[in-house]
Amino acid sequence: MSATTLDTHVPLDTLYHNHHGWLCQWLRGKLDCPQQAADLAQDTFVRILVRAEPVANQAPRALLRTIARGLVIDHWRRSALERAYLEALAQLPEAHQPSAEQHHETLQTLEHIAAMLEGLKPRVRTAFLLYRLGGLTHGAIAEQLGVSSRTVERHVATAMLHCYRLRFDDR
Amino acid sequence: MIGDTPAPAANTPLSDSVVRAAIHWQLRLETANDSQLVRRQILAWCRRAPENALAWQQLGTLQQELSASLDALGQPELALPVLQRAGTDLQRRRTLKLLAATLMLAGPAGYTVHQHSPWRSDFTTGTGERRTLELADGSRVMLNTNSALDVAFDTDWRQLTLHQGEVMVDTLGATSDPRPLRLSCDFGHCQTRGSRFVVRQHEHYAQVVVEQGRLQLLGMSGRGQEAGAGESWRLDQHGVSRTGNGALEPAAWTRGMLVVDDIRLAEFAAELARYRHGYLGVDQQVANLRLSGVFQLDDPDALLADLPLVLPIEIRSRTRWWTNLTARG
Repeated sequence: MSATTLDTHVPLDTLYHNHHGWLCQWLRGKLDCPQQAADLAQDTFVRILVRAEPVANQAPRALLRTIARGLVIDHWRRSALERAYLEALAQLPEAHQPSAEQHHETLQTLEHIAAMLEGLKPRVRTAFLLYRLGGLTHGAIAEQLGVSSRTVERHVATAMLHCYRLRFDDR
Repeated sequence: MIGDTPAPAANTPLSDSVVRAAIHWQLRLETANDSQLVRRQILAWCRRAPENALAWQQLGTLQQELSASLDALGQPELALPVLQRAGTDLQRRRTLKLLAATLMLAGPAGYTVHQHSPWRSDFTTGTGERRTLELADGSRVMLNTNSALDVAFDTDWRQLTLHQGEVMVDTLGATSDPRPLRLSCDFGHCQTRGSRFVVRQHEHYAQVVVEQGRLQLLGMSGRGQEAGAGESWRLDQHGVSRTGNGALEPAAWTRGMLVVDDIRLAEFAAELARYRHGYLGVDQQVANLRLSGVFQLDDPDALLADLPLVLPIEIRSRTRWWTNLTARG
């Protein structure tokens, strides 16, 4: 109403007290596991805590929701990746199974690369992966995807540009 | 003051055209027969402008970091399908949530409740997945592997947009709906009141096959054509044209089958590759072998394993994700 209410900030403990239950509820609607929802609710408040800006009194739930949504998407991404990785590992012979430490590191690297390629069209992503990771020639990729070599080259270049922007345009 | 002096180049984002040029050079270098020559050309290009040199240097850094990451992965044939799948799974997961929200919004009365707030939903399928949808008007839609479709019904139109892949649309059960149904893709539109048809989007064109009823086809130029049952049409940047039947029966996938008549092995493998994860290559030596038959799509790997029974080929799999068809040796 008055200028004073606009300027006020919510202390974290008040925020937690007033909205933690609601946030858990909201997250439970997104995730199947209540334990997971509670963890992400906790993470959301940790993000608020480490944020430089204090939380304004207006619409604190919108902010909580925005942060929590980002965490949910990260969570999906990570679990989808982990599931796919475990399935792929199950195909490998015993002798090729990585150690626990290797396993963890590989998963982290996969996450890093997956995050980098997030937002690329599936075709672009596939062409890029086959080229950089699979080591196939443009011609071989073209044959597999049923497109021309020039299209493959364009896809690879698009993915490179995307990675470049992520890496160098950050503020 | 800010604005009076140009900021140091390193803090200003380089233009897309400079970065793209640098990427182009990098790809040239990687595929060149005479790398010394390309290196000299790159050097000359870098000397032409400081932005060029910066782009080249940054790209080199990126390349090194990327290589380090990729090397850390070790087994590429393991990481490749994981990375490809993770993206699709996430997309599908989001779609499911979106779908749930849409269903809640639409409620039992379907679109009539929301005549004034057109709603929209996205449907996708992953590799090897097929999915049937019942739309609010009673139309039936089937998505083939790796496809993406938008549905947006409003008071005047039943609008479908195919972004990727292949779809079968059957509006024969929804002919009482007064609104025309329009399916748009990258190369044009199909419009109908009652028909069953299949649209497949390729890289440079779309193929439309009418199974039943009639369809109006509109190219990007706005030129229209009337298509009848049993006909096959092509939409591309030049417009709308009639085509013959290929070696592949276009709507067989809607019944879970792959039906081919005198198809080249290379073409067959490319078709099969749409339905399975991983790389499927064909050696030049056997690429022109021909094949006819009716195959079940549900287990593409089993289908693949049966090929040596009918063709003089051998299947070489380094891993489950890396398969090559070669001459039997």
